[in-house]
Amino acid sequence: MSLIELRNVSKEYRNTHALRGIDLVVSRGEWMNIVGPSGSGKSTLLNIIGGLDSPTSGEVSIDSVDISRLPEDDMAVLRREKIGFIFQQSHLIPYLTAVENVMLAQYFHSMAEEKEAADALSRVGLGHRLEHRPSQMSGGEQQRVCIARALINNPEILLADEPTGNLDRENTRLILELLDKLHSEEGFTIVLVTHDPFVAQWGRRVLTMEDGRIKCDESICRL
Amino acid sequence: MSQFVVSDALLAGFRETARGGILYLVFLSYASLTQRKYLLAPFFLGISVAFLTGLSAPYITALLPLKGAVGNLISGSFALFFIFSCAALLQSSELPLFEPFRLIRISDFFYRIATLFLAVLFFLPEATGTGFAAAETALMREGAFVVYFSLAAGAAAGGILIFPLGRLTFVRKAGEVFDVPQILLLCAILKLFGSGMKGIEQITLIPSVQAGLMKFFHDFVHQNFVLFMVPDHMLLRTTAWNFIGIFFGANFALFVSLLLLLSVPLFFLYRKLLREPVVPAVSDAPATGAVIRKLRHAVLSERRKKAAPVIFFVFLIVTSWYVRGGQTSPRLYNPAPKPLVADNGLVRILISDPTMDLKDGRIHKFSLAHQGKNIRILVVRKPDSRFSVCLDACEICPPEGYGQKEDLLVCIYCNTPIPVRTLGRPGGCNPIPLEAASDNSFISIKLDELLKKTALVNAGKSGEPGR
Repeated sequence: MSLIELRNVSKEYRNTHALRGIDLVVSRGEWMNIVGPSGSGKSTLLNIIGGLDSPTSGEVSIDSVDISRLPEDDMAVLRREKIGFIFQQSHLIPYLTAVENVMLAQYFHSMAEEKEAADALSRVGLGHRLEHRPSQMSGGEQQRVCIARALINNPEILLADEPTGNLDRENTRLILELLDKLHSEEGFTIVLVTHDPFVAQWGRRVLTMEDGRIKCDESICRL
Repeated sequence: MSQFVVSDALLAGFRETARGGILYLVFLSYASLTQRKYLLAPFFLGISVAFLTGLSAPYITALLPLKGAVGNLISGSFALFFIFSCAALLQSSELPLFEPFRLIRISDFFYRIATLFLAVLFFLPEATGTGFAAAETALMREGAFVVYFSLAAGAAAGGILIFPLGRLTFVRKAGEVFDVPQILLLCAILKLFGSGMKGIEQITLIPSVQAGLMKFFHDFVHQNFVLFMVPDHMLLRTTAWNFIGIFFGANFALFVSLLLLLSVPLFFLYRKLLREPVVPAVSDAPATGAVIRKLRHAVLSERRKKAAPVIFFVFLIVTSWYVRGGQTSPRLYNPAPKPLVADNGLVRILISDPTMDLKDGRIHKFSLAHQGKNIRILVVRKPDSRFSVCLDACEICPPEGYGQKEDLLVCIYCNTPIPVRTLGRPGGCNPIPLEAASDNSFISIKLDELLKKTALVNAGKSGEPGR
């Protein structure tokens, strides 16, 4: 059953074609990694799936809702209820503690609830770091706070743009194990952008982008 | 009913439309948001009935008795709206006691009838007051065309000012914070701050509501202490009186009246804002933390919205009470009694006395020396143009008499305020009413009546001298 569906999606920035006629279906519960060289359109594709950017042409559906022409308010509701984002930079609020950063996401979704936020941090192994500020945590720990923040509102889709780009191998493994656990045990649909072959191999499906086109869809290639 | 001039007619028309317009805008928003636009028809029918009845009352013999009752109708309708809103607030405060009532399915027909009734109740008293004042002025001063044209012009001005507000987004969404209890409370607020006892002369009910509540409290204390708790011994009685006096200090009754007005709204706010919400059961989605949180947020948000008009009401009441409480009280007007003599078993008071204007709305005192007793009589012309004739004493306090402060009589002994318009009621702290006849020249009281009623005065029973 498809959760994300793109039909002939193109994106142009002035004279630059970032995406060219992308057709893509991602099923519910799937983990798909998008790889490709810099400038191939990976992040643009992720941003369009997440409603952070809009296509120049084509249609994007999330859970059968066409988001290409959704009003901004409805788009905000969809983003906060169905999608969790993890970026390369943690984008944590520096003067808030770990638990407060997670509670902030709760607040914008509905209302803050400290115990639930603390439980979420415990799930990513940061139960002992609740009251620490981002500057008092390592890069890997910060990224785990981001995962807790992304998951706190029970989204159906987790979109990650180079989530391990700033991490060493050990921390990268920790993050990927965490995502793997969430995917296999809790059924999250994950779309992850990376240029790291080590990270790419964790996915169940790998989409290779080049010059704004899908060069290879590995699950299809394997067929 | 006082006469009113063109400017008053303009103001009356303006005020009626402004009050009605505010209620209409809120009601329209509520009806639109709750898919109850079918209630607009009975709402307008109620307005039509109220204004047709009110404005035609002076010309229909059967409705003439309404003239004397306008003041009571206006304050009574405020009291009814306030009581209705309190009942509805209690009902919606999620008390287990009222749980069975929530299961009752109320039909659309009931809502239509209730809307019609409440619209008539809201608009009829003021429309009647305005109708009588307008008719009287049209007859005696200005002519019907000028008066009714001024009324219509005032109403049109009110409409021009109020109705365009309906285009504002926050006005169109006002219905989000209103439900039945809040709309009833809004009606009470509009009555309290925008009604007049005489159509136009007094544009707020606050003084009379304050006085009424204080009097209610005072009577309650008096009746209980005097009838049940004060031993029938002169010394104890005096001590008890001094003790009771604490309850009638300058501000005590005012605070009690505040408490009476605010107890239900504050209880509602406590239940809505301070209690943990009951989250409805989830059936069609997994009860994850986010889903439950969202439901909790929805419940809390709804509670906060619905509490807003009640908070506004509490704020208005406390502010207006504080402002009024802070005003310096004018000295009591207490004229020296003019001596009277009994002639042929009859005591007569001259109405057209060149030394005093008995129709000026102020109290006038007279005294009669009879068999060693000095009997004081109090006469005042009430807002409905009738004379009220009473003894200058009540059945409870030592007979020190009454002074006047604005439209209140105040007991000199215990400070009880008595609204002038309620004079004539027997018992309690009211001045003891006397049966009297009046024509254009004299007010006549039978000596027997005077002596009979004098026996009711407290001093006769307790022997406590007037202080």
